[in-house]
Amino acid sequence: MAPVRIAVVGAGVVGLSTAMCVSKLVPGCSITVISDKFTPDTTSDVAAGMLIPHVYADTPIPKQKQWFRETFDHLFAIASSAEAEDAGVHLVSGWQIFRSVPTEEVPFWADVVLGFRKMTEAELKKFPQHVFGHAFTTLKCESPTYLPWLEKRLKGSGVLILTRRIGDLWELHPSFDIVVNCSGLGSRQLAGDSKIFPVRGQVLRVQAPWVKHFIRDGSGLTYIYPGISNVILGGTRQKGDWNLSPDAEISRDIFSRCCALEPSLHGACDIREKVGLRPFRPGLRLQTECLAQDGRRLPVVHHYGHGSGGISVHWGTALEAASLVGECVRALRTPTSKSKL
Amino acid sequence: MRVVVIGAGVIGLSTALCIHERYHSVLPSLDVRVYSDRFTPFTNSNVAAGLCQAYLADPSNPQEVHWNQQTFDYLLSHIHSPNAANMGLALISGYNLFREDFPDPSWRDTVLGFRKLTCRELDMFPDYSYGWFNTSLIVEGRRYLPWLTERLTERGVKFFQQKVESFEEVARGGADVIINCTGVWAGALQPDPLLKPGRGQIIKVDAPWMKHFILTHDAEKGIYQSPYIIPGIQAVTLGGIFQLGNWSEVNNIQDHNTIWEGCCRLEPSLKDAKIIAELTGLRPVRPQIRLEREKLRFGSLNTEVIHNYGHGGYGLTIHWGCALEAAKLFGKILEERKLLRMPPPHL
Repeated sequence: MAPVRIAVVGAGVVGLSTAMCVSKLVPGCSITVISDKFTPDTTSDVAAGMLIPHVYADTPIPKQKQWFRETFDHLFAIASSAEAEDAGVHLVSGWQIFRSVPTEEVPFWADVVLGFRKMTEAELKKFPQHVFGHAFTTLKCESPTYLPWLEKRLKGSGVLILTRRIGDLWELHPSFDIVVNCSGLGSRQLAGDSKIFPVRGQVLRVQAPWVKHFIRDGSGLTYIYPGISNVILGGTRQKGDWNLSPDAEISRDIFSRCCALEPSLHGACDIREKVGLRPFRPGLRLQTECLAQDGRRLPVVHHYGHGSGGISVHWGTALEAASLVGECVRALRTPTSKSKL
Repeated sequence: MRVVVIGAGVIGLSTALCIHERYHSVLPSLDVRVYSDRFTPFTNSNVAAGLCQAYLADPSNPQEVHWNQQTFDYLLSHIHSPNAANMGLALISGYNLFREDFPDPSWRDTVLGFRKLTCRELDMFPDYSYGWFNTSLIVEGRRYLPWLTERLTERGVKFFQQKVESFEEVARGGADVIINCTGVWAGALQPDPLLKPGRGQIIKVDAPWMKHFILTHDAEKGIYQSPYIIPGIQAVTLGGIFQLGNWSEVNNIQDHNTIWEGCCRLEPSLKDAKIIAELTGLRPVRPQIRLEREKLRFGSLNTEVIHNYGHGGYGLTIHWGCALEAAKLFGKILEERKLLRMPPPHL
């Protein structure tokens, strides 16, 4: 039987991990990842990659917890192995702090991360403006290292990687039998989806190697995330803003907010600015659509709209996307669907 | 009033600073000097990883518990300042691992967020079945000693590079009070059979993804003889060597292998970490710290000595509490000699 030809559009964390899951779980396929942008120029590369979930309004909590748990367990195994440095995944402990006691004192993901507990009075003394907090250990998954590591493994599994800008999903027909659409914001055009919009995030990457803990303020607008080769300070949430150029005023504001939480940051140096556009959507789109036009058919598995939670749930949603791809492959191979063609 | 501090490790410098801070305004004639043959970066304080953690067993001198607490609180109060990085200070969390259940240490309420490890956390360390998690501090000698030196220099304290052969030579040179912070070499100035070197060797590697300390404990082997991994500000310290009675200051290849194998087994991601340096230090081991006065007489000269040595592997952990105690003893000397203009500041 000829292999089913699958095109994965998008090479951010969602595209590459989906390609990986499909290659492992769906037999008899040949996979090509097609994107105009690759690491370090994807949206994922700007994200700090902290595993702290974003809440998707349209998805039931148990499902979101499953996605997060699957991602956490997957990355935890990597962090505990000899691969940790090469994959850019490591454990980090820290605090999520609140200026007033939150309505939900224990979030749904508390038992997925490690050692989750309330902060003690002594710990809260470090943050005079805050009255409540959580202490826990989670993972950081750094795309500038993780994505090249994934790419290398994909190539090793025979997955092809192609640099090309796709303007229309039909360009992939008839070279490919199934398309997996992981194009994030690109789906505005590729899927004609007006529900997806950018939420602009500006961050600073600084050198402050004495900072070993993350600090996340309340809803997560202000944060300090120490990584392998820098500390990420953030951030902003600017809805509908497509501007990829850093704004100096915003940088000053971010720095000031972060120094208020961690005064030792005044000694930080080598400050660099980055901007990323989070692919926001009222709900994460994870579904199959059969495109039809002029007698042609093209099954598409949509897998986009992760907002600010892409890295936190990427492996769980990729497993689900691979399962949808598997269904498409089975449908293509059964005699009934062939006769329809 | 000439005070000579012998020794320029963390004990010598912090004691000098503590005394000067507390007495220079009430004793105009106060002249503090530091004599040492070794200065940063060549002291034992520079080899130590600098993790603030006292021994697991209760010390034979209960005052040491108090001095550890005072030091932790003092350093913690500086953590929030913009100066923290210059002082070599950083908050750090991590793991203490055991092969069987172990009672909580005396410092469980000194450190932050002390708790037992969960099963999932213990899964990361297959050779261990029990442990603790807590947040503590590191104070790195390589930054802290220069910082102390700067503070002392600002105050007009002078430094002299010289090897002191005897207390007598210092007394005859004009010292009224000698602060003996000579660490593991104190025996050269006055024999002390209780003081022994606890040789340690460490490997410094570049492993910036490591954000937690990991200390293992083996009841059969004893303190510091089980692998430990302590991230510092720039480099990660790997260790696990403690040899009582070994005076060698030279790196040893077998010890290197012991450290490397033990730490890579504990943390597989270290296997490719680049080695930056390898160092040997001699912990000044003593059943308890010698922190007391002694009056010495050389002919017609009466000299006061305050001994402050024998801090084992926890010198950085306990240094400020000891400095405060030494300053208290100094204050008593001043009272006895009726040298104070006004009551001494509250210590």
